Amino acid sequence: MPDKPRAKPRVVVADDDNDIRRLVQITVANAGCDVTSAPDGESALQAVREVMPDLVILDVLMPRMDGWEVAKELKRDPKTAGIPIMFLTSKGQENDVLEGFEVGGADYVVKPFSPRELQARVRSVLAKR
Amino acid sequence: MVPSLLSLEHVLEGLEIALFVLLLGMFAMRSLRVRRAEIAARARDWMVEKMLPLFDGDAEQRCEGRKVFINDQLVVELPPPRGLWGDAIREVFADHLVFITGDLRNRFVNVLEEAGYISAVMRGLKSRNVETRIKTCMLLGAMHSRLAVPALIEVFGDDPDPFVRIGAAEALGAIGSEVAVAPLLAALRNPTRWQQVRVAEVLSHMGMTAVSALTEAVEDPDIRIAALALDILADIGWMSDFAPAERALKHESPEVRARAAAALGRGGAMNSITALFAAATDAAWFVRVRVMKALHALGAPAHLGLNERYFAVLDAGLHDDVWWVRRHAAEALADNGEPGRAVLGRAMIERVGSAARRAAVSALQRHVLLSASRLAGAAISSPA
Repeated sequence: MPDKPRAKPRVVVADDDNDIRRLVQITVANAGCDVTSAPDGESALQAVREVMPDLVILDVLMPRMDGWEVAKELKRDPKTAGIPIMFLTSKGQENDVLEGFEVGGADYVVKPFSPRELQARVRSVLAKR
Repeated sequence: MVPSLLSLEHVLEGLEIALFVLLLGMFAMRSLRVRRAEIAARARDWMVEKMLPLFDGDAEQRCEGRKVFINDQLVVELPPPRGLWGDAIREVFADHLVFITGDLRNRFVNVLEEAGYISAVMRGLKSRNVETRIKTCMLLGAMHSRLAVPALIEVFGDDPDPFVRIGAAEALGAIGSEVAVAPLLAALRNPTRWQQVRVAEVLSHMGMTAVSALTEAVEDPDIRIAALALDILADIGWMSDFAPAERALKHESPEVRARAAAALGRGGAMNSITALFAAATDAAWFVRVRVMKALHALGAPAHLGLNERYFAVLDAGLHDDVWWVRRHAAEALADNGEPGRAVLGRAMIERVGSAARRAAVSALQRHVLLSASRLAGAAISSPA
C-alpha cells in the first residue's frame, strides 16, 4: 500500500521589507512548504494563530511588535508554545543571537543570508518536529 | 497710451506662454515620476518571476551578454543597462544583493557583469559630480562585483575628493577582495587621522579576507603600518601566522610591542604564550598591561604543562609597580580557578597596605560578587 501523502508543512514568514519577505517566501516555498507572509509583528501573531504553522520565520526589527515580543507571546500561549521559531535578522551581534535563543528561537540566521542555506535550515528545523 | 497697452498685452501673452511651458514641464515630470514608479514596481515583480530559476542552486547557469540560460534554456533577456528599465533593474538587483549572500548572490553578480550593468555603473566613477561618484562607489559596493575592484582601487588612490576616496575604500571593503587590502594598507602611509580610522574600519570589516595581507604587514618597516595592522588583527581576532606578531613583541617601538601582545591575546595564540611570558617584563608599563590582558584572554595553559610558569608570571604582575598592571594580573588570577585564587590568597596575607594585597582583595571581591550575581540570576530565571 503506498504511503499516504503528507500535507505540506506550513510556514509563517514575517518581515517588514517587501523584497526580503518575497524572497524568503519563494525560498521557503521552493523547499516544499506552504507559506503565509506577514508585514509586521502583530499580523504575524494573528497569522500564526489562524494557520497554526509548523515553523515561524521572524525578522526582529519590525513595526508595531518586534520579533522578540512575537516570540515571547507565542511561547507564552500553550497552543503556540511548541511551534519552532527561526529568527532571520540583520542583528548579528553575539548578544542578539543569545537573546534569540533565550526567547525560545530554534535557529538564528543573520542577514545577508544565503537562500540555499535558509532552505537547508528550514528543512532541518522541520525534520526535528 | 496705445503703445503701453500693446506692451502690456505682450507681457500678458508672454506670461501665458511661460505658464503653459511650466505646466507642461510639471506634467512631463509627474508623468516621468509615475512611469518610473510603475517600472520600478514591475521590475520588482520581474525580479521574482524571471530570476526564479536562478534560485535552484543545482541548475547550470550561463550568460551570453544580456541573455541568461539555465540548463541551456534561455530563461530571460535583461533590458539594456540604460534608460528607465535599465535603471529599475539595476536598482532592484542592488536592493536584493544587500541581503543575499552565497551561491545566489554569485549568480546575480555574474548576470549583472555579463549583461554589462557593472560596466555601465562604473562610468559614474568618472563623473564630474562628487555626489555621483560617491553614489557610484556605494552602488558598486552593494553589487559585490570583483570586476569593479581595479577601478575602485584607482579611485581610492587618485580621486581628488577625500569623501569619494573613502567611499571607494568602503566599497572595496564590501566587495571583500583580497587584492584591495594592499592598496588600502599602502594608503595609510600618509593619511589624515579620519582616513586612518575609516580605512581601518573597512579592513576590520573585511575580516578573514584581509587577515593574510595584514599578517604580512605586521613586519612592515613603517611603524604606523605595523601597529595598525596589529590593531586590526586584534579586532578581527585571528592571524594567518602568529610568528610575525611574536617577533613584533621584540620590536623597537613599544607601541608595536603592546599591539602585538593584544593581537596574540585576542587571536587565541596559545602556542605563543612563552613569548608573552618573556614580554611580561617589558620596560614599558603599557606593554606589560597588554601582556597581562593577553594572558587573561588565553587562560592557563594546563595542556601545555606551563601552568606553573603562567601563574608565576601573573604573580610577578600582581607585584608590579604600576597599578594598571597589577589590576589586570589580579583579574587574570581571579578568573583562573583555584590555582589563580591561591596566588591571590597568598597576596592577601602579605603586609597590610601592600599594593599586591589591595589588588588581590579587589579582584577577589569582584569575583565573589560576580559569582553571587550569576547564582542570583539563575535563581530568578528558574524559580523552584
